[in-house]
Amino acid sequence: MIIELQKLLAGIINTLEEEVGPDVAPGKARAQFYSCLDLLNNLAAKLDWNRSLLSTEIAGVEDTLRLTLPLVEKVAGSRRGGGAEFSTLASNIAGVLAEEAADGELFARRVRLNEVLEEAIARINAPGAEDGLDEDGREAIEQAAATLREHLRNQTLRDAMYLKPMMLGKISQG
Amino acid sequence: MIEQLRAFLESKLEGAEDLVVSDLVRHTEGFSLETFSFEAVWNVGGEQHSQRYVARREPPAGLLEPYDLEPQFRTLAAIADTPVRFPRVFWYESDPAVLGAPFYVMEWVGGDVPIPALDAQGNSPFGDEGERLSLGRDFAAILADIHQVDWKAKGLDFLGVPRDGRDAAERVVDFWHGYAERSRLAPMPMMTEAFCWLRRNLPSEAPVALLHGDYRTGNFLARDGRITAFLDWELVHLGDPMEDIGWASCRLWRGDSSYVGYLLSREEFSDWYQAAGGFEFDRARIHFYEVLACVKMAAIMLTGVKAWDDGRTKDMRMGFFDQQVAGMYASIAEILGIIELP
Repeated sequence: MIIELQKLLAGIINTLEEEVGPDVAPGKARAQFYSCLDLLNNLAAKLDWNRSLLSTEIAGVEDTLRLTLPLVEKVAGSRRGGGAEFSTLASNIAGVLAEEAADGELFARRVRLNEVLEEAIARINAPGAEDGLDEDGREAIEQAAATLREHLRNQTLRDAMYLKPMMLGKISQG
Repeated sequence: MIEQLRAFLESKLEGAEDLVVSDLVRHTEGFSLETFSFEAVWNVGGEQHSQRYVARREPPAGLLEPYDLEPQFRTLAAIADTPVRFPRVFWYESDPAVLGAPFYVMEWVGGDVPIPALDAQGNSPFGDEGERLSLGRDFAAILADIHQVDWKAKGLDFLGVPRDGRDAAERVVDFWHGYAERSRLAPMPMMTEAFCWLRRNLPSEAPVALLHGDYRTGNFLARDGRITAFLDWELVHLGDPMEDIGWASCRLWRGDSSYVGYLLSREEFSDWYQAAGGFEFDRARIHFYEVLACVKMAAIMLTGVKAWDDGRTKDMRMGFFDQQVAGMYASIAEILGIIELP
């Protein structure tokens, strides 16, 4: 779910029409092909990403960021010589959690939350991130890293549940 | 296209007269370079010559873009007298006016390209255990041959020479990180987790060797139980030999088998590679490069998605990665110990 659904469907329809249609043999196959295309054209305007999938992912990121926030604040406070980058991260996490998604903007909300989640992963797991931290800070950064990994685990397993086996052999062999 | 190829060959084959190009075939295997084979017949001083050639052309968009065929052409030309099995290359043309995009011409080598997956009838890509073992031995031995190329003597410094094993690792991590970033369409939390892991676990010591860069089942031609040639050298570079081993061992090339590349067990790979003169297997470095392999494959998939999203290609073989990259993220999670896959 990287590309927005309407754009993805428009591209699929375009590829089918221009790249596949001309090579479909006349007769039964062509009749079936254009029937499918007609249906896809009409369905496209009525479809959206599954709200339940998006909502589950959004809730998962929000929960993770809520758990991570106090740990990041602790890291920011325990860093000798200042923890400005962790203060900024804490502020960004608090900011995104305070935002509310307007109706129909779940996809955008998911993107925004994952941007901050990714920022947290990059900051907390960066080489040397634990340098200059006192014992409490080290413990907090380890907990934060584990919390983020737990989310990655849960989201990966959720995504995998809906993933059909890749048809690499058929695609490669043509 | 036949006329363009004919004119090109005429300019290259000294003294050629009555040159005829025929039987042009576009090959659909592979996701990267456009591949055409064709027959050429000509006379020199009344004597008839013929040869089947292959032209490999940069595609308008692809999984390994941006393309530059010159380094692989120069490398293959430089190692022509080594035991490495690959199609010998003849000419490189950088002028897009000649054939629509830069291309090179190489010899045609017979054989099939086994894919690491069951075929439409549910059959294994390799006929029987004997064929698997025979191809597996070749697979390990050819990699050892590549890694033993004296790249300094062959003048391959233009590929970029890492200072040491750590520098080699850092270079490829930087390269694939940049590659993934260029294709960014959405947040990539799993990729970021993996890149942080890679940067925290850079190996320190390693030899520097010539690497194929895309050494795997699906990139070789096989006939009668032997590998006739290794193809697809777009990612050739200098680096840690364990990088090729980590890539070849990637879960994606295992398919539904437990074998590396659907071909050989890890023990067989190690034994046969080293028996052919390859480097000692280093489990820690192989693990590092297996993590990189998953990240690299995800970055390649994201490049396809981006090319398709940009409208630079209508090839659905790029667009379908929009969903399938989730499977690659699962492979990253598995190799980092975040999840266990069956």
